[in-house]
Amino acid sequence: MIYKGLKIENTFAEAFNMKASRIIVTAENDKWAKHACDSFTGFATSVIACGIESGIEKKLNKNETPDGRSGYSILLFSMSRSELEKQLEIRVGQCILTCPSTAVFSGIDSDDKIPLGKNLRYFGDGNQIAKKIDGERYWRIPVMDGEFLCQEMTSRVAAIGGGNFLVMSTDKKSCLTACEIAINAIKNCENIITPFPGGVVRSGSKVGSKYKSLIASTNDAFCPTLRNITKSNLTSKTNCVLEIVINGLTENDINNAIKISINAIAKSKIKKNIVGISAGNYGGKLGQYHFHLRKIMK
Amino acid sequence: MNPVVITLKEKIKNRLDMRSLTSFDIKNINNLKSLPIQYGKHQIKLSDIFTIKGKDLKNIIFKSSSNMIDNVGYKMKNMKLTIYGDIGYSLGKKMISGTLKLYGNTSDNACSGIVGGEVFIMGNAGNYFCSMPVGLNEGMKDGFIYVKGSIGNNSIERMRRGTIIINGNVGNKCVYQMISGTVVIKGKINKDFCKDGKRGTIITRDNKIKSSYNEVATNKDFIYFFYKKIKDTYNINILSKNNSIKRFYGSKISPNKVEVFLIK
Repeated sequence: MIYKGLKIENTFAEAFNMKASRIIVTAENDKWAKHACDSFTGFATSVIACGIESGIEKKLNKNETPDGRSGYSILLFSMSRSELEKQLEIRVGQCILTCPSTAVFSGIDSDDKIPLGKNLRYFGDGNQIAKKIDGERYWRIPVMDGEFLCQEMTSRVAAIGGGNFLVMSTDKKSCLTACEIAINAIKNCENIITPFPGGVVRSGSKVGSKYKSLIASTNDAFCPTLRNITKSNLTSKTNCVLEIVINGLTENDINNAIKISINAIAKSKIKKNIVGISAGNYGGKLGQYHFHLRKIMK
Repeated sequence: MNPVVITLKEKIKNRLDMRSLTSFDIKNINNLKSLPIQYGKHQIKLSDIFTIKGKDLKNIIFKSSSNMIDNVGYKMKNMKLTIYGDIGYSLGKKMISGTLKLYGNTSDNACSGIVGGEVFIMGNAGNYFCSMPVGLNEGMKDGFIYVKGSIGNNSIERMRRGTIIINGNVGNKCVYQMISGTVVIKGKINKDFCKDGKRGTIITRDNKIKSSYNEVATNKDFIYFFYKKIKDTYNINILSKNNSIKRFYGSKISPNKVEVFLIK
């Protein structure tokens, strides 16, 4: 299929059931809110070793935050409820509580509640103050710059992780530019994040390895340097492949994000260097969700 | 569905106890019409004294109310009740949830032992407002109350949780033995205010209180958040960004953790 001059391969991205939550981080100004969020979402690229996949969903206007200050919403995804709870608590405690002037609130509502500031309050050593406003409990923990305000609970919802597509290009420069265009196009999309650095991943993986201790290893079928050595999926023109991984709250959110980002590449001048758009899957047997590229781009 | 509108047929001479309106399980409009209510010494049906129109039993409008009517909103749960005119004793007593709006004044013991829900009193409230009901050890347990006017003596006893906003003045011996919660007073406070408190937050403009509390550094994050939350949820202004705020924490007289925000 050729979409606005861009070759779309007849394949699909394979994605998985995950658990997600959203928090809102605010601070005195945008700079400190960003510091806290960068710290929270650092080392949260893949559940393989980070525990959660997390990223800044979007910047919030002052009138969108619960306390009327600058803020960001963060989405975090995990394979299990317990890991989500554990990582949320650790990261809020170490990255947001520690950051000057911050406050943290729940950004999502469901019946399935998980602790946000519930256990962090003990840091107050008995001087913490609870306030229940409009049915929600908040904790005020005394810290050296004043008080750390946090909501007691947030919510957990079902979500999808691992939606993806691959950008195959003649050279690294054009591949990076195409990915930047794609990421830029979805930077304000709600309910999705791209957890890898800059939203892009170069080390796409396959399940298993020749080494027994590894559960995943390099996706050799898409490595240009192994083109003539392994069973490659690449043509002789392809010299660089980058992957954009998208986690979202619903199937529709990921569908939209894939469509918007591929469309952005197709509309740019860089498309002349793009050999094609493909997707990563494991044969369709592992993931509960299949995102067929041609169906999405129809 | 149209709300149920209840209107007094004529002026009443005896006290009328309306606790059954919100505490009984009313399944249909016929149930409502035959609802037993205590009128003076006699038990009568609701339809004997009121005209009843409408269908939505979860949304009741009380028209031409009288200060002879007591216990309206008693143990009210998941209902919307709007009252036009004055009302008698024990409005919203032990209320559990829902919204109660009164466009008039209320007598003593209003919101006594309230457990939850929202109450808006667009007039004055009498003595023992938000007090402890007989046999209980706590007054207000949770919920939100706004009083546009003033409240009487001995109000807000042993408050456990929730938010109360008083637009006017408060009487003597108010906010007694506060356990926790938040009380905003925009008018003047009176004698023996906030005595023997344990914890909780008082937001006031009256200078009188500051002499008995320790002044501490003021962190404005919480108070601005509280202001925004109240403004966004109930459209009630408790301060403006131009106000200067001072924070006092812990009494000088007896050891406690009551905090006071003094707004200028």
